[in-house]
Amino acid sequence: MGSKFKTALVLLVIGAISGFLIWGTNELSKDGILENREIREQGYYKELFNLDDDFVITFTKEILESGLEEVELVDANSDVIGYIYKMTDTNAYGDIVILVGIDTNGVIKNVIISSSTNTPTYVKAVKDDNLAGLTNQNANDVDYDDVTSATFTYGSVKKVVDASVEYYLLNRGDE
Amino acid sequence: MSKKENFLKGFFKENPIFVFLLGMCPALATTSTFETALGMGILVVFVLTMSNIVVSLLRNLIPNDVRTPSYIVVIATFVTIVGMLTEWKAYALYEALGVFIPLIVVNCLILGRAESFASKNKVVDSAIDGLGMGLGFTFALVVIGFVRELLSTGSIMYGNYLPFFVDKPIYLFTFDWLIDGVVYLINLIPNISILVNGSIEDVAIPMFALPAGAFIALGLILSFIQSKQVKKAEKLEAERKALIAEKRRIALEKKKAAALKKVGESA
Repeated sequence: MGSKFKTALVLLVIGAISGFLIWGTNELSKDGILENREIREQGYYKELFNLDDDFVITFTKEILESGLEEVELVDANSDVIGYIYKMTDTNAYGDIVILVGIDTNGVIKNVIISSSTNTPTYVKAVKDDNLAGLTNQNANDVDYDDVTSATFTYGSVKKVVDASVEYYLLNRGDE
Repeated sequence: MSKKENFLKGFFKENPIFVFLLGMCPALATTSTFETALGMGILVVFVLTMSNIVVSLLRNLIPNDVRTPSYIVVIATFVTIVGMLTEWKAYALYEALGVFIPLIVVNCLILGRAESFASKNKVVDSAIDGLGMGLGFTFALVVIGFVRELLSTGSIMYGNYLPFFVDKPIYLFTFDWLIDGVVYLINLIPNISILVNGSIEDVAIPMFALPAGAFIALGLILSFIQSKQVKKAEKLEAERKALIAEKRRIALEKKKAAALKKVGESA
């Protein structure tokens, strides 16, 4: 009984010290990490609309009920550049985060997979072979590639693009 | 074993990758470039040294039946910390290494050193062991990364992932001069004049940046090291045989001299 109590106590102490160390590091680094993530996210925004690195953008974010996140991108003259739709989809291989950029004319400017736990080979295949086919398509009539080896990953891309286009056409299409 | 020997053993004699083939997962997956290999190495040095210190400090307190889970908790703590710090201070490296940062937890080198060394030795020796083994691991990763990046791009870059010492990416080394040299030599041939506007990257082998290239590069490096070791062993064996032959010759001469002396005395 005594030895079991000792074992439990030692494990408790190790766990508590570990937790304290991780908490301390998290407190120290969380602001910097959030800032880095934000910078990365803005990098994606610029990549979606092919903007220069030094282009100053302002944006407003809105999280919608469907799990879609809408970002309205505005330039220095307060003109709307376009809308970015971000969504995390969970397929059989895990989570995949996809961003879709649609300009004010309803043209899909770019589609980006920002992070994923899907099989890297398939993600790379989709990035290399399929995403370019979606760019410059009109949101009214999106034509998908039916021949792809990465069914699950591309299925997620289709799902997010569909959701983005649907929201855009319903809420932003007349602007 | 002296402290110096303890520190240096991880570099060559007991190198985790080149001798024991431990921690092969990061050795293959994170060495597509010199810089990512160096980054992974730095993280492993930190985790290995710190976990060795803590395991050594707790070696008399941790009950034997929960030894391994306790070590894993200690290692996982440092891996979590190092993951957060990397995401904070070296975000590009964090993104490049991706899942291989949390996977440091299951690097058998770290658990192996905790189990076989730190749990049986004093804190200072364990720290030296962790540092030496970690640096040996880093050395091996850097060698593989260097070879792969050089073969796949013809250059070695720094500054893409590690935010230390430089503001923007720089070439540490490039074989671009080789192209210029070849063009210059061809132009020396009479009646032939070519103008090439290319870089070494055009003639490099991109396959070495891919997983298959990792295996091939590792195989090439290991075979080089093995051939050196075999040659060294053969040299030592030849020296040993020569020494034995010399000793035999001396013994035979002594025997001969003694026999002659005996014959002389009897005559």
